[in-house]
Parts: sequence; C-alpha cells; structure tokens
Amino acid sequence: MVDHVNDRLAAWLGDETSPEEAAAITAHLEDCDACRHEADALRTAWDVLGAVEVPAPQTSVWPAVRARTTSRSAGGFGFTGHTVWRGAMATAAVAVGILLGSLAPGGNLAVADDNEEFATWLDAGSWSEDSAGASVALWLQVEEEEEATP
Amino acid sequence: MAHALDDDTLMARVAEGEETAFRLLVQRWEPGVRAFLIHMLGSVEEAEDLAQDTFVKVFGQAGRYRPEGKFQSWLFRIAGNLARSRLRRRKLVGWLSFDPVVHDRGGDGPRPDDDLVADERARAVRQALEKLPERQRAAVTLHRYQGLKYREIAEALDTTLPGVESLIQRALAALRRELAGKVD
Repeated sequence: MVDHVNDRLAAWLGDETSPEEAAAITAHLEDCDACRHEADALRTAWDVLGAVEVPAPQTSVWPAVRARTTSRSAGGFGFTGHTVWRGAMATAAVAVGILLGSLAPGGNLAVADDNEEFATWLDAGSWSEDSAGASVALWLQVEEEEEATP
Repeated sequence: MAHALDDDTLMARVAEGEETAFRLLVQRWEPGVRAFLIHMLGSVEEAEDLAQDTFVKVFGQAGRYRPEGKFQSWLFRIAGNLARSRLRRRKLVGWLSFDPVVHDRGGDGPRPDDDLVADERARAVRQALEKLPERQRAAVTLHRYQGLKYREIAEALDTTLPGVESLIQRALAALRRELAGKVD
C-alpha cells in the first residue's frame, strides 16, 4: 500500500495531478478508509462552493472605464502630466515606504528607488501589505485627487 | 473564419492606443474580474468599483506590459491587490460585517421553499469564504470559480506551486470544518 495521500487530495480534486499520480491516488482511496473519508469531505467542500452564484451585472464597466482612461490620456497618462507634483509626491511616498520598510520586517519597498519603478511596483503589486500600506494609501490619495481635478 | 485575438496581442495594441483592442479586453475579462472581486469582497457594488479600477490600471500599464506570463495571472494579480487594499481599509475603519451580496440583490419577495434552502446554503458558503484568510480565499476562488490552474494562481499571488497547493488544501479543509452540519 502507498503512503496516505491526504496532502495531495486537493490537487487531485482540482485535476492538478499527473494521470499516473491520479490513478495511484484513486487506487489508494479504494483501500484506505481514512483517505477516502478525507477525500469525500474535501469533495463536499469543493462542490458546495458551487452554491454561490454571482448576481448578473446590470451594466458593463466599459463606459466608466473608457471615460476614465480617455480623460487620463487627454491629460497625459502616467508620469507625463503634472510631473513636478507627481514626482514630488512619489518621492515622498517612496521615502515613507523606505522608512516603514526599514522598520517592519519583510518590507520590500526599499527596492522602489525611482518613480518608474514605484509605479510598476504599485500597479503590478509585489508589495507586502503591512509595511507599505501607508505609502500606498498616500499614493492612491494623490491619484484620486488628480482624477477629481478638472 | 475570424480568429479571436489573444490577450497579449490585444495588450500590444492597447499600448499603441487602440481603443477597440482595450474594449475587447475589458469585455472579455470583465465577467471574471467582477466575479472574483465579488467573492473576495462580498459586495457587488464594491466589486464593480474595483473592476473599473483594475481595467484603468491595465490601461495605465499597457506600455510596460511584457507577455512573460499569462495575461490573466497578471490581471488577477492587479485585481487581487486592489481587493486586498480595500479589505485593509475596511479593517482600518472598523467595517461592520453584513451580507452585501444579498443586500445588493434587493427585492426580497415571497419565494418557493427550494429557493430559500438554496439561499441559506449560499449564505453559509459565502460566510465561510469570508472567514478564510485573504490569500486562501483568493487561491480557492481563482481555482474554483475562474478555473485558473495552479501555475497561473502562483503567478497571480506571487507564490510557488507548493504554496498554491497548500493554500487551497487549507482553504478546503477550513471550509469543510466551517460548513459541517450547515450544508448537506
């Protein structure tokens, strides 16, 4: 008999095992009451997740997204508009982030050492939530204020 | 016969300022992003706000986008980070938990017993999902509802394949415990 397969059952349920491993797990479950019980329980959890239906959208987000991106493009999307103001705030945000990152273990904001990298870091999102939260909030506030400005 | 343009091709065209390409991307991915955010936040209204924000950020990053992974992993990473930020803000303002999906739906009139049983089950599952840690919720949601493979989830959550497997295994185990006796 193979070892118990509890730690592979979620992958097996989610079709993330190779055909060979799936066959081995299936064979094991036929002989092992403990693993079969665990598999049944996980399958129940997996199945009941299907009970949650998402309400159908009333409208598409496209008109709003189009309006926001069009207005940004007209004013110079990214760092081309309001360069001085944005640059100053980005620098301040990076400084706050570096300070927080140095205070909090695991902070990774110190790698964002210029505006371009900061924007990539912010948008692609490789930041750790706790240490960088304050600087992210600051930056988002700046962006929101700019969006509200005619 | 027309062939649908793939996401990376569309992103390249978005970077060149082609609005039609951007519209196609939004229309293609809006349902998935919106559903993911509803599952993460439990609120239709907030999910739609953040779906907008997600696509605005996609537009803003189009010039820097590189097709090194799967587009959908990158997209859900942005959406997930926005959801995480919103959840953190809730904590900061002492958000009171309620059941916004039902709240947003509105119009609660008399319904057949079967619907009520289904609603009770759905409510129990939603509440169980809400109790999961954010990363477990994100992983299981992307896998169960969006059909992402472990490798794609790993890219979206910036973790490893074993990390994804662990997140999903623990999420299912927690859901099983939480829902024991509540759903059959």
